[in-house]
Amino acid sequence: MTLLSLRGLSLRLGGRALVDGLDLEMGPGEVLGLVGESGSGKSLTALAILGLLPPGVARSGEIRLGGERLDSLTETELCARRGRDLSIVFQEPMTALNPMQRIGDQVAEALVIHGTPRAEARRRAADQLARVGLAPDRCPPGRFPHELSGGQRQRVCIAMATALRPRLLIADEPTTALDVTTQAQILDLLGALARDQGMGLLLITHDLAVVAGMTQRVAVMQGGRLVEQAPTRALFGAPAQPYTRALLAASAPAAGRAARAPGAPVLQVAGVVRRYPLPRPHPFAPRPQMVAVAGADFTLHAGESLGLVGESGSGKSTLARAVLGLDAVQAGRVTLQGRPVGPGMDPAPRAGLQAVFQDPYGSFNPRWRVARAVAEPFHLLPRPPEDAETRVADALVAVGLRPEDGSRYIHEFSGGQRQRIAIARALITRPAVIVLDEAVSALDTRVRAQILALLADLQARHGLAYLFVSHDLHVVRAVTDRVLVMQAGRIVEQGPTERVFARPDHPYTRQLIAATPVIPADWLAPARKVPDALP
Amino acid sequence: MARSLAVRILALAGSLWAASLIVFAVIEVIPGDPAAFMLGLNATPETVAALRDQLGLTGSLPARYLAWAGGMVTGDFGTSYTYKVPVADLVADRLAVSLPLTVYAMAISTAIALPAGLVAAAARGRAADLAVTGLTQLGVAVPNFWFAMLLVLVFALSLGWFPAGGFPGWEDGVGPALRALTLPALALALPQAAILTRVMRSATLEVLGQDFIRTARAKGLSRARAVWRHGFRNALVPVLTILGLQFAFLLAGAIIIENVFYLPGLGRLIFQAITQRDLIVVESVVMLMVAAVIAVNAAVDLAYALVDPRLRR
Repeated sequence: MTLLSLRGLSLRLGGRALVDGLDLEMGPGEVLGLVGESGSGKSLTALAILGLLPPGVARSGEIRLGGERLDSLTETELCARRGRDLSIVFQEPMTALNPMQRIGDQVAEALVIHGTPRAEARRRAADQLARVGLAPDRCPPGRFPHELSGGQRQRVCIAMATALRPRLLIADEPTTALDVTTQAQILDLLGALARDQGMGLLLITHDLAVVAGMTQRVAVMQGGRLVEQAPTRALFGAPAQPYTRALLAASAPAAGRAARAPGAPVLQVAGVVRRYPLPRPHPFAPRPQMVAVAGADFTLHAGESLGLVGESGSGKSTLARAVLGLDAVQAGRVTLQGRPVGPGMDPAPRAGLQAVFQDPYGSFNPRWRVARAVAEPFHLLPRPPEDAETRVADALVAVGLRPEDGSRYIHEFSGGQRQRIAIARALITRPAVIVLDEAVSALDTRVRAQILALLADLQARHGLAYLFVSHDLHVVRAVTDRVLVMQAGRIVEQGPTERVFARPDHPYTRQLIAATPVIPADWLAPARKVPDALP
Repeated sequence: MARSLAVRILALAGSLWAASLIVFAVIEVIPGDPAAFMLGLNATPETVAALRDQLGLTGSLPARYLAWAGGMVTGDFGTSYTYKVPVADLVADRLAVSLPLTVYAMAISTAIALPAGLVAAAARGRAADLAVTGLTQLGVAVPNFWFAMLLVLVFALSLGWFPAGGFPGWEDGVGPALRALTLPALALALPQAAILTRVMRSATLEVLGQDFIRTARAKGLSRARAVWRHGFRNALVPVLTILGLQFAFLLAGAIIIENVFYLPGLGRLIFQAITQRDLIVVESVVMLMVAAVIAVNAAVDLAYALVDPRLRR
């Protein structure tokens, strides 16, 4: 008896096959991981199962749920099954809920449209919210989505999707937008619901570590095709396909960097405090203050990589902005090679301090050619260098692009290529320090591995110092020499990366490390032997 | 909520006060004698002096401002020079036509625009969308007096359902008065509805691309129900902004339609007052308009908060 069966599922947009002849089966109550990079077709497959494909995507092949052909149902029949027999939790909890409706009503709606009377639906929605961990005394059903954190919103989405105890729940990157600690809680919740309700769970993710702890079986997709499927343990221990091996190698970056002697101090942060004024509760009240960074001290040395980790809201991005001199500090000082850093600083020293941010799509002016974007930091210098063009070309070559790419526009590049361009832009003034604020977080595992290798290479060649801000502990562990752990505006622990990860002193650090999904080391032994086999 | 309301009312009063200063300055302080201006070239110095006295132009600036502003607060707007009646009565008579006309027109335009915009967005690129967008093109392009003449031709002259012009007053009951206002309200409403439909359509389209619509569909809502239950209210915020602007415009901007239908409205009053140099009336009507705009903006702000819980504090 199978729960879900896909036979020769193909999805085409125009002439292009996005998913090509996919065969996949899932048993009732099974937890199946569907893994692949972005563009591999895994999210489209999920939408195809639900019959919610974007307009213009043509579908062929068979989709069966519990023996019934979903692909031959009418839209009305599908509506009656969505939310009841099969449902989905999407990636982005911040936008997945209607901002105008109370969370209780949104959960109740899932029941009402499938025939539950309104009053009963309300009551069951409240129960359902309590079941997913939103206790009525702390997070009542009368709340609006904007009053909830990302993790809480994802709980609401899960409550909504499981309210009618569907036989199949698809979770499409359900924790990618969340913190490690929240991620662990949400994954636990999904696992528990699947067990308790005997619900099949199709967990779609790019992160193999997530799959390792959760699933019984893993299917790997590449370029719209299924390349491999096997029981989880077997797949991790003996991946048959080079693509799977490469994914595994990339998702567990070799731990630790070779110890090296610290260079001269380049950036010093002493007693930095960042406070924001909040809106006044009434017109004559003093403005309350939000303390985002409550006294941060650290030193960054030439050629060093310093990690800065913490949950969202811990103040790490605020601290990064203060270090970059983008915002004025309320106390303390930041100095770069002895010169003060701040909003009013001279342009010339600012050239020594550059940044790469998370979003490779939002950080470029779409109307500029790449060469102009890369050359932009030159205006920090007293006058543009005479060999500006050569230096732009050199920077593009240094990040693995071609000089002629400078005449193209940013939309012509993939996410990973855009992040390379952002790095080229940061390199162009030959800075001493680059702040990398979640610079690889939006990238796929394999692309991320390539960008990290590029960063390491550039550091070795130019003696760059990196402040590496990230919520991803795997990456921080792999690429930094020292690490700062930030919680609620304070640096609660700092020290050599290996020491902090191996023997954390602070309970918060221990909690962060415990929450991070890992692929058990003994599963991986054979995969390690071919770490660079990128197909 | 009560506190923020109090803050809002204070801000409202402040804006009104600032506006009164500007209106006062423009009329009274700017070089040139309003009395001489009003009486024209052939006036004798004695009549000018008498009018100056009547207008309250004698005395110090602050005293004159206080007398004027104080009068307005107590409902005394002065006496119209041309009509020889208190301005307050004059304005009240005209408002009894203009305000219902405006509200009527806005009700019609909203009743057309919201469903039309919603349907067009839901049927994006299909026949219904093309039809609606085409009609809005027409509505925006064609001037409202042309609609007015067309409506008179069809519904007044040929069919005889509505009067072709004039206003019987509210004394004979609501029915005839509303009948008299129907064609002018329609003529005013059509171009506004065209604009509003386009705003509603694009606002809805934007909302339909949002993730929460996909969530709603995944719950099992049909496309139409997802649009209605989750799209509509989210699309309302930009629509409210346009509605506020349209109200202020229609209140005094209906002059052409008032002329076509021989309606004694505010637009005609201000037009006549300007041509007859009746500055007291102009002053009062301008202040009234300012007050209306400020009040409507405040109402729109409150409506935002009603629609969108994120804006409630």
